[in-house]
Amino acid sequence: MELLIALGIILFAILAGLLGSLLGLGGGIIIVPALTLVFGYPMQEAIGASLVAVIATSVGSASYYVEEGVSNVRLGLVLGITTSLGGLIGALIAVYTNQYILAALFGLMLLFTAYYMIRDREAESICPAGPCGPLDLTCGYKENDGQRVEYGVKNLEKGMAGSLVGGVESGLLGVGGGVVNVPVMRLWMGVPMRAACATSNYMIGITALAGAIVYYEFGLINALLAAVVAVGVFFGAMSGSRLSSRVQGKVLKNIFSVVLIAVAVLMFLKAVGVMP
Amino acid sequence: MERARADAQLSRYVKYALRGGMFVSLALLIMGLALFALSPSSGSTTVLGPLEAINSILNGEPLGVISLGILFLIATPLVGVIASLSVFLKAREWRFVLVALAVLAVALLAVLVKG
Repeated sequence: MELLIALGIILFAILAGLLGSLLGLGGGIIIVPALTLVFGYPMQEAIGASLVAVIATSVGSASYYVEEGVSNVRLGLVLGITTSLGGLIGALIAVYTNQYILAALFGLMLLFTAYYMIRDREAESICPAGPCGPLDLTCGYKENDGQRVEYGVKNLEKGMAGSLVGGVESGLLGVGGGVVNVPVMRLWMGVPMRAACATSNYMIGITALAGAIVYYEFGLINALLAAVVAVGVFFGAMSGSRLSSRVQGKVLKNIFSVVLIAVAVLMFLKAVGVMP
Repeated sequence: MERARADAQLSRYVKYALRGGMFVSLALLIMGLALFALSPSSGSTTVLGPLEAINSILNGEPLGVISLGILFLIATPLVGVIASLSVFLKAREWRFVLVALAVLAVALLAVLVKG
């Protein structure tokens, strides 16, 4: 890898970590298009490096959220069963899939993410604390104003099915799966927004783990590329968490949605062979 | 062990597991990249297995250091799950023991899937 290319990749990775941290997304949504469209890496190699970066993002941010008590580790583990299974299935499909089809699927996922970011938030109803079904997943955390929020979890089976989809998306396309997991936890399972995002941050590491193992077994993880991307994403995410209180989230989301739509068009062009 | 105590221990163990993995892997990755920048090689750059990586480090090759960093990073969420398992075992929360074992089983399946 040339030094100049490595510097270019590390800059994109820092940007991915920064924006991912500010917008609550995994960096994969930026890394995979950057590696394929700008630096010409094949889809599978880009996805393999991105999965390693997703683990770096998760490990870095989840350790903080777990310490604060905002990540619901028990819920993350329960959903981790199906989400990691999904990651395994997605990765197995991806290693046998033509890269042009993967590019088209990635384009579709970008459009869905842009839609998810633009639309208004649907009303959430927080599940009251207490056991629901065979497992007691009750958890609580302190809000910034010092008020303690206690909540329970409902619709566990439905949530696990939703997480399976998030996992397949992760293993197939090299992203975290938070775009699926966060709404599943908020809207179906009654988990408050802050806890859903923090728990998703913990879960994406477990999800990407299964996918990353498959890519590693198939020799699709380029060590140099993955290392450069992981280090860049890690430092970007650290800066993002420091900047988050000073950035207008809504404005940033709208701007980023437009960028995602533009990148989706480029991915479709790659899928039909117009772009290299 | 009461639930609140188990939860506090769970947070502490998982935090230490994730943070420990993060520092070790990041240190190895940065060191490996720095060594590679000083003495770049043009061979294969696929991630090496654990034993190959150690042999490669003994031969003074930066790829071994980078590979070990990536393997540590990939294994870190697993160490977090094992830390959770130890808390559930201590607290005799058998249903959550099964949950943690199921997550580990999927990871094992991923290792074995290629045969």
